Amino acid sequence: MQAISLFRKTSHQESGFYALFLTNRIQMLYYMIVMPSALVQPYMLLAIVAMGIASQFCLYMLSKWFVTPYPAQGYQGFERLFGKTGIKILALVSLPLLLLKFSFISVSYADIMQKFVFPSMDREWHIVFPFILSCYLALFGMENMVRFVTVVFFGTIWIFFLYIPFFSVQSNSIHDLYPLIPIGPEPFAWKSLLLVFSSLSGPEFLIAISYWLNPQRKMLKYLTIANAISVGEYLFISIASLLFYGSKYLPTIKYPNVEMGRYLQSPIFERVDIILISAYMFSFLYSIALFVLMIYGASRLLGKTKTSTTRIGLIVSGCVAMAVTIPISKWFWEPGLEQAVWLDLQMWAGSATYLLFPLLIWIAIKRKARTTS
Amino acid sequence: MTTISIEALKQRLALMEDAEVIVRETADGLRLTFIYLGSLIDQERLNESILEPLVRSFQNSVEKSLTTAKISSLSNLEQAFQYLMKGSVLIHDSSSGRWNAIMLPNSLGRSIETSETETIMFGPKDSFSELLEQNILLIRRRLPLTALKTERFSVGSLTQTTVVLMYIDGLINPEFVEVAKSKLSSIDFDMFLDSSHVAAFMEDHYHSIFPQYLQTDRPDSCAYALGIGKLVILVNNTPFALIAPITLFHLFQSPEDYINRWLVASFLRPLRYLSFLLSITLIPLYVALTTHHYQMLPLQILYVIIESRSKLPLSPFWEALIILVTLEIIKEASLRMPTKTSQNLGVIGGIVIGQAAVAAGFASKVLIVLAGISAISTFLVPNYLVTKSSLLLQFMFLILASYLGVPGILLGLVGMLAHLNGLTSLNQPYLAPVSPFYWRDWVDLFVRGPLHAMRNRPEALRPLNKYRMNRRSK
Amino acid sequence: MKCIFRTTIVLLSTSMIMLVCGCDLLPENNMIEEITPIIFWSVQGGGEEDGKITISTLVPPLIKEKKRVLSLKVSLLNEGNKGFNLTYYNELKAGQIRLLFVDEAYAKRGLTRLINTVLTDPNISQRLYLVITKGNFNEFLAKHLGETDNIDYYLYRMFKHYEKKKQGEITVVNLHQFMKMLYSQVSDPQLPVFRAEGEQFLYEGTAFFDRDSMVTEIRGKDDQIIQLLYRDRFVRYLVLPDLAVTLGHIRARTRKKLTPDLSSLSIEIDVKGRIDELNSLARIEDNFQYAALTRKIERYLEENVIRLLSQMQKLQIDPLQIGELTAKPFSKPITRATWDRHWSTMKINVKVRLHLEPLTKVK
Repeated sequence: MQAISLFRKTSHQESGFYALFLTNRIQMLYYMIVMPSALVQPYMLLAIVAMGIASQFCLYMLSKWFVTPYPAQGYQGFERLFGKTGIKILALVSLPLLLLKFSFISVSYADIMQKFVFPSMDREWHIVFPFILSCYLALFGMENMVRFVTVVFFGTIWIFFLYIPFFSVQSNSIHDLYPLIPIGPEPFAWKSLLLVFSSLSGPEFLIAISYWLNPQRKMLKYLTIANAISVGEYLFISIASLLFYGSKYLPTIKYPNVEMGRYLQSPIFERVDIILISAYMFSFLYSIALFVLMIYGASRLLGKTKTSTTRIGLIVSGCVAMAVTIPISKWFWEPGLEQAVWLDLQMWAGSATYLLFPLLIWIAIKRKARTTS
Repeated sequence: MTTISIEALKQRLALMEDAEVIVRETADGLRLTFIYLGSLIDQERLNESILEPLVRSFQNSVEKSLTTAKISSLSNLEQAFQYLMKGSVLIHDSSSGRWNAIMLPNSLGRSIETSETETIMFGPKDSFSELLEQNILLIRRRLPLTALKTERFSVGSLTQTTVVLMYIDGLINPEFVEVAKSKLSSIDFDMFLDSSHVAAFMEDHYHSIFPQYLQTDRPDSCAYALGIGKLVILVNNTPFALIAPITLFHLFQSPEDYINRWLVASFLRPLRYLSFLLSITLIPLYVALTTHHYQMLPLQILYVIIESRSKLPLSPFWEALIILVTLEIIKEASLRMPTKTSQNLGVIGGIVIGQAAVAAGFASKVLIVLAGISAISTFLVPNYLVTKSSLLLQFMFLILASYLGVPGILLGLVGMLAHLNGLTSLNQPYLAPVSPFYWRDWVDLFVRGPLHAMRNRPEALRPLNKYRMNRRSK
Repeated sequence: MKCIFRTTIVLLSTSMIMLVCGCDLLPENNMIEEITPIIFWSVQGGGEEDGKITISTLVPPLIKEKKRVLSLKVSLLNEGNKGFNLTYYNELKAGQIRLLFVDEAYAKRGLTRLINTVLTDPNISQRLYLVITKGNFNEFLAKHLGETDNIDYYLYRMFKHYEKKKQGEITVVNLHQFMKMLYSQVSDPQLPVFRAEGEQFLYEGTAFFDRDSMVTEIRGKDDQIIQLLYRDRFVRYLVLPDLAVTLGHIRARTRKKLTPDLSSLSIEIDVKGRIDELNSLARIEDNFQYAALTRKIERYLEENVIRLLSQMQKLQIDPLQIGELTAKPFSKPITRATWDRHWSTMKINVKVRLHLEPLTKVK
C-alpha cells in the first residue's frame, strides 16, 4: 500500500486546457439551470454579454496571478505572498464560503433531482448518494482530480447539443425575442445582472488549485476561451428557452432547462430530462469532490500543515460539510422564502468572491513587486 | 561455495531417471565425464557436435577441441545445477580438473501458427509460440535495429522463468524502462507459468478488474508497440507477451484497425466503445426502466414491454439476474468443453434460453433479445480480459439500476470513470490522452485517423524521438 | 487492525446517514407489471351546482384483455385518480398520460384549473394532447372494450402522426403549445374538436378560446382554410364544395404584415398545389379557363379568410398569433387591452396567390 498523499504532484505537463475545462464547468454549474427564468426579458440577453465582459476582467486579474512564479511553489508561494497569518485568515474566510457553496449546490441539485426524477424519495438521499461518490472521487487526490476534468467536460458538454432542436420547434417565432432593448413597462431587473455575474463566478477557486495546474504564460488565452464558451452556452440556452416559452410564460417555470429536456423525445427514450439530470450529475459530483478537497485543504491550513494527509481526514471534512448541508436541506429549505434567502446569499457571496479574490491577489502581487524591487 | 565433484553431482541426481553420466576417453588420452539430463538436451547434437569431435580430437583441453560451441566454465556446484537444469551438458576434464558447460537445449516446440485469440482477416498471420528465442526472432525480424534492446531477467523460485524486457533504446521514455526493471527485479514468488502471472506482480493496482498490461500473441502488435515508444515483456514458455504502458483505449484497438481503410476503421472503433457500453448498461437500463421509470418509455415500446411482462412471475431484476447467470453458465461451459460438444451446447443453450424460458413464462421476450444483444456486443471488444470483466460491471450496474434507476446507472458510470482515472499502468495514467489531456493523440483514439495524420508518436508516452516521419521531407 | 478501524468508521457513518435520512429509500413502486399506466383522462360536466366533474379512463391499457371504462363523479381531478385506484386492482399511474379529452361544456367554463393540476404533476409530460369532445365520450369508449381494441393507443398514434410533419389535416395542440398561447400577451389558444357518435370519433374542427375558455369553433371547409394561415403548413386536401373543386398537396406560405399604427393587416398567402378533383373537366379546356378558375378559387379563398378573420375580430380573439407581430426589436410591447382595441377595428386585406400545377393526362 503506497502512502496516501492527496495533495502531491508528480506531473509537470504544461497545459492550459485543465484551466479551460475547469473554468467552463464551474461556470456552468448551477445558475444556468435557473437563469433563464430570471432573465425573462429578451433584452436580458445583453446582460449576459455584459456580465461576460465583467467576468473577463476578473479572469484577467486571475491570469496575472498565473504568470507570477508563486503558484508553481504551492504553499510556499502563498506564504511568501501573504505571510503565515495572512494564509490563516484567508483560509478562515474562504472556509465558510466554500461550505456555503458546497451546501447550496448540493441542496439545489438534490431539489431538481427530487422534483423531476424521484418525487417520492427524500431529498436527503439525493444529497447523500452523490456525496458518497464524490468522496470516492476526492480520495484519488488533487492531481487525479484536476486531470479528471477532461473526462467531466467531454462527459457533459453533449447535453448542450440536445437543445439545438428547440430552435426549430413549430410554435417558435422570432417575435418572442423582441424587444431587444429595455423599454418594457417593467423596471430593469438589476438583480438578474448579479445573478449572471454570480453564475459566472467560480474560477476564483482556481487560485487554490493553481499549484496543480502547472500555470504558464498563455493562461489568459485559455481562461478567455472558457469564459467565451460559458457565455455562449448561457446565451444559447437563454435564447432557446425564450423562443420555446415566450417571455410571459417563462417566469412561471422554475427550471426551464429541465422542463425543456422533458419536452424532448427520442425514439428510444421519452422524458429525456431524467437522463439529462443524471448526466449533469457528472459535473456536479466533480465540483462537489473538488470542494471537499478544498475544504480539507483549507482546514489543514488552519491547523497543522506539517502532518501528512489522511483519508480519514478527508472523509471527516467531507462529513462536516454534510453536517452543514443536511440540516439546511431538512429544516431551512422551505420553498419560497427561505430558498430565496439562500439564493440571494449565494448570489452575493459568489459575486463578492469572484470580484474580491482576484483583486486581492492582484493587489498582493503588486505590493510584493514594489517591496522587492 | 562448494566445489564441484562427481560424487556430489551424482548424489543430487539420484532418483532422476533421465540423468545420465557417461565417461569417454579421447584419442589423446583425456578422460572426460559428461553429465546431462537426457530429456532436456538435444541428443543428436550432443553426439554430432560434441562427443564425436571430442573423442577424435588430439588437443589436450575441451576448449581447444570444440571451437564451434559456446563453452562456459563452472566454478561452483549451484552454478553447475543451474546450467544442467537449463539443458546444458556438463563436461569434466579429469586432467585439468575443470568443469565446463555447453548449452544444448532441446528446441522441441510448436511451429509458428496463426493466432487463435486475436484473429484477423487480413494482415500477418504468424503468432508467438512457447519458445522465447523464437518469439524474439519474430520481433527482431520486424525491427532489425541495434537499438532494439533485450534484457534478461529470471523470475520464480521454482520455475526460474526467463523474462525478456524489450524496448527501442533512444526512442522509449527511459522512465518506463527504469520502472519496469525495478518491478521485474523485485518480483518474489515461486511459479510463473504465464505472462499474466508476471503482469499480476507488476501491476500498480492488482484489485482492479481492468488489465493494466496488454497481453498479445501477435508479433506485429508488439513491433508496433515498440515502435511508438512502449516496452514489451516476453516470458518464456508462454506465447503471450505483455505490452506496457497501456491505456483503457488500447484495449479497444485491434491490429486490423490499421489494415482497414481509415474511414472504415474510424467507424468500427466507436462501435466497439458503444458495444462495450451497451454490454454493461443495456440490461441494467431495461431493469431501471421497468422498475422505476415507466414514464421514460415511448408508448410504442411500452406497449411491447408491458405485453411481454404482464404475466411473468419474477421482478425485472431477478429475471435479468437469472437470465444473465444462465447465459454466463452456458458461455463458460462452451469454453471448457471440447470443440465438437460445444456446438451441441450452443444449440441446447439457444433453445433453452430463447424458446423454453419465454414459453414457460420465466422471462420476457424483450429481455431475451436484450440479453442476446448485450452478449454479442461483449465480443466486439478485442481484448478477452475486458470481455470477462464487463460481466462483473454489468452485475454492479444491475444492482445500482434496481435500486436507483437511471441515476444509479449514471452514478456507477461516474464511479467507474473515476476508478479508471485513478488507475496507472507502469505508473502512467490509464486514461492517457483524455486525462491527462493530449489533444494531438486524439487522431488515433476514438477514431483511427489516416496514417498520414499520425506524424508524431503518442505524446502521452513522451518518447525521446517524437517524429514518425522524416521532418525534412515534409 | 487499521483495516477494521476503517471499516467500522465507514459502517458507522453509513448507519448515521441512514438514520438521518430515514430508511425507506424509494417509497414509490413503479414496477411495470404491477401498475396500469393509463393513456388518457376524459373530463366532463362541471355544469352542476356542486361543481362536480365526471372523470373517466379506460383500463387496462396496452394489454390484450377485456377493457372496462372507469368513471367517477368527483370535485377534484386527482380525487378521481385516487378513486380509480380504489376501484381497480392495479395502481393507476399518470406518467404515461398522452391525451386529455375535455368536454365542450367544461371547456366553455375555462380550462385553467384542470390544466394547472396537470401541469403541477411532475410525471405528466408536456406533450399531452388536449382535445375538446362533443357528444357522449363514455358511450363511445363503451363500444371499444374488445380484447384487441386498443382505442386509446390508436387515438394517441393518430395525434402523433398528424403532429409529426406539421400536417394541417387536423389541428393538433399539446399542453405546452396551449400554455404558450395562453400566456402569450396578445394571442389566444385553440384546440381540436371531436364528436363522439356511437362507435365513431369524428373530427369536427378547431375550437377557439378567449384566454382559457372556449368561445367558438369552426368546422369543415373553414377549418381547412384556417390551416393555410399558419406558418408553413402542408394540407393534403382542400375541399371547396361551393366551387365543386378539390385542391390537393397544398403547401401554403403565409406572410402577415401589420401597419405600424395597427390600423390594417395585410395577409399574403402563396398556395402551391394541384387540382385533385373537378366536377367537369370541360371547365378547364384551355388556359384561359384554367386561369379563370384559378382566379375564382383565389377570390373565394380571400373572401372566406376575411369572413373568418372578421369573426375572430368580433369575438376579440386571436388564435392565429397575429398579435405577436406587434413585437419589434426596438419598441415597447403593447398590452392586451390595446391590442384588443386595435384588433376589433382592424382593416384586413387578403391576397391569395394560387400556383396550381397544370393538369396533364386528363381527358
